[in-house]
Amino acid sequence: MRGFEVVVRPVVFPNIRPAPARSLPPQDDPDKGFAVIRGNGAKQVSVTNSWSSSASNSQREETQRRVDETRVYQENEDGSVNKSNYVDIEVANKMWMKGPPKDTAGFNGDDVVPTDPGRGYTGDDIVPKGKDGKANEVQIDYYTPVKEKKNIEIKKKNVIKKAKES
Amino acid sequence: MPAGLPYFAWVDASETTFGAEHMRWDEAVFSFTLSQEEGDPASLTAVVRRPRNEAGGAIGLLGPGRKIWAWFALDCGPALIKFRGRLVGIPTSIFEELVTLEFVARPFDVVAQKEALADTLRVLPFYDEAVIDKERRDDPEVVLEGYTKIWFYDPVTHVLSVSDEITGEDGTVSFDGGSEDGKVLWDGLGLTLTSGPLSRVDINAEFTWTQQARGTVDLTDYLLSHWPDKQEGAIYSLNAADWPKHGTGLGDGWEVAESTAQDVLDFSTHSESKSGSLTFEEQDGGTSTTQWSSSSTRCRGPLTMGPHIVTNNTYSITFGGNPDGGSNASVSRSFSETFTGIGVQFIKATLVAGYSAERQCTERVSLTLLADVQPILTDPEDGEALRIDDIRSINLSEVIDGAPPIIDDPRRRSYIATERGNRSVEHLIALARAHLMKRARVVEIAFAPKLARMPEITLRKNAFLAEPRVGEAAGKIVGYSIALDGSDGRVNCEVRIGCTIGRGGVATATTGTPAYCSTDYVGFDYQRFVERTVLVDAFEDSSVGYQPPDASPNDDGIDFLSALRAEDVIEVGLVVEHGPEPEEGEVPPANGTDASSTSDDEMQNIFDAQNAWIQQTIIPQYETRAKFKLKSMTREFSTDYEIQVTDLKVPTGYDLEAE
Repeated sequence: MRGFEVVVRPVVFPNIRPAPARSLPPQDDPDKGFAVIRGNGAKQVSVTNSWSSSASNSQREETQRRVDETRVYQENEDGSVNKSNYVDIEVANKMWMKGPPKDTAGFNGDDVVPTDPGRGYTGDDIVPKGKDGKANEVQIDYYTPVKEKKNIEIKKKNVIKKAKES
Repeated sequence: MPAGLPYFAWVDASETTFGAEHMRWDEAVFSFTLSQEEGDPASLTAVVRRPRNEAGGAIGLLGPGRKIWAWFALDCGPALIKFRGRLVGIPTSIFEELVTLEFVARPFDVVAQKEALADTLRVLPFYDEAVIDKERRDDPEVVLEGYTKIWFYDPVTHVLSVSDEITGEDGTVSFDGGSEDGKVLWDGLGLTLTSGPLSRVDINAEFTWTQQARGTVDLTDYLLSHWPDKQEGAIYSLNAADWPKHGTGLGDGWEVAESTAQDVLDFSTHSESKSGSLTFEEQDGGTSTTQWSSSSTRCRGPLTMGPHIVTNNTYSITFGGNPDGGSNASVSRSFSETFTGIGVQFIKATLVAGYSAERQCTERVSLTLLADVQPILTDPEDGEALRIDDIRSINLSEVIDGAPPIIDDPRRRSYIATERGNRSVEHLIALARAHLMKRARVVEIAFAPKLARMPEITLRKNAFLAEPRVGEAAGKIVGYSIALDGSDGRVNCEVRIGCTIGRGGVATATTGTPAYCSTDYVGFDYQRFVERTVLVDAFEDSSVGYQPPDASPNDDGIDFLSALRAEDVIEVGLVVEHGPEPEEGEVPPANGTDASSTSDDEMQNIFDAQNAWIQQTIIPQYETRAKFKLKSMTREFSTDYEIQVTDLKVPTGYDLEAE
């Protein structure tokens, strides 16, 4: 009777199995797969340093003076005066000193404080101005005038002496 | 009714129950053969007188309106042999007086029945969907692969079932040779050896899954503890910008999950200027004035000072009178220089690496099952061995139709050592066992019982035969036939049984040796046992046992089921390299301290040369290159397991070695 029916014995077909799993390439390269952290912490920094210094020095110069021409005799130990023995000297009581150009207010009679309070201003106190309009800084110094004594004789008072003359 | 009388009734398809009304003679049966072979539906070949109409004319058996179903019964004395079948084709010898009709007891709904039955048979270890292509899972023919069973078509009810090929489910029909009914006829006895027994089955199977896992590993402590140049936890000669950012790749399957980096030092510059003057007015009206100034740029971070260039170094002295009066003198000097410094940054950093594992894992399982059978060849080496090595699993971590993956947790390192994996091993054993058992049915004995015994015969039963010429034999009924030869009126009966030639016995389970502690403390569910043999519970005959494999994955040791530490994932440790030291004797371009004789162009050239020298000679020595290797998350691993299996105990259906 075989032939009328499909044989239904269990038949295992080759294709009942799943397909082979995908095959990954073997990872046999030991140099691959590394985590690498690269960098350079060095930094070029430029710093600058600069300095400067200067020093200056200035001196005043005497332009004229006013002197008392005085003769001083020898005074003996007993207090007598020997008129034959003397020296003549010039005793300055006023000196004009001039310094380097300086911006000044100049003299106008209001804003200059007299250097010799109580004495008032004189024509000698006029401070001349230069061509550039700047006044030369002229300082006038006063000194206590010499006084006559038994061995001191003032020959001539208030004689003006230019610096070039002295 | 007399024994040997056949009944034949054409019926409707709905007449599925045999009754007395079917004991009639719709056709005059001249001869017939009723037979059934194992795995096939029963068939009936009936030679009947050519049907005619009332007028005596021939009629077509397949004409419209004619019934094609028939009940056939044969009175065997104590009971009837019954058969319900369907006419399957055009009768042969249709123009002769006798025509031959072919019937088959095949149910109309065989496909539906088979599918329904197959659903009940898809159970481990006989059926393992892990090794079945998902497109073939619905195929009912596949389910019996691991069983020693075969389809059985009931010739009366047309109910489809399966029947074991070694041991029938419905009992044993005994022909003991002693009683009258227990004797078989002298003629018709035969013994054949169908083939040599299969003595061994070698199975190689591959179980594959994609080991999948995601997570993070904090590498900060590892990197800091292994970084050679560090100060107070800060890494030398890197900028924060150099540190890997989120998403940066760190190797196969690795990337930065979280990272922080912060520069420790501040290399920004700032300027400092100072100046002052002092005037002395002398008593004579003269004045002395001193003035000074300085400026410098400073860097807030520490620098290693490099070459410097004097950019200015001048002085002057004046002395002379004033045309307007007075005198003065002055001296002045100016000096400037540029230093190039190198600042080296430190960073404080953290790094958490994230992994996404997609690693193909394969476990190659091999086992050899030997059948404990009697040799039928003089040299056992001549026996047959079956090699099955095309068994592959689906991807066990794959989610199919929303069902959980077979491996359950795709992070696993081993499948075969799991409970589910053991079932797969048992399935492989079931495959081997099925082949060996079927092929152990070497002896086929045919005999002719008396007609009265034939109603007892079905293909779901065993038969025991005791006959002087063959001795004793027991086996599954693999076929039967009843034939009536109309020429002499003799009814010939034949039953064939397939007898296994095993040596009997059962496999023995052994507890093995506990590998951890006494079994009084913890049992099989907690600790591993060496050389422990368990029986496959699903095999009711205790025919085979095996040693469950211990997990021994041949992988890189990462256990994704545990929290990973840096030490677990480092394959090649941290190596930090810096750039080459400058050669001795290398002198940077400079102009010393004399800037007076240096022109502007020359000065610029010196600057350019110095910058180039620093960039090419100095800066490179601070280059940092740190590298380490994390274990790959895309590798593939393969582990071989050789399963130790006991010999298969096969029943002794026929003793070829009997003396």
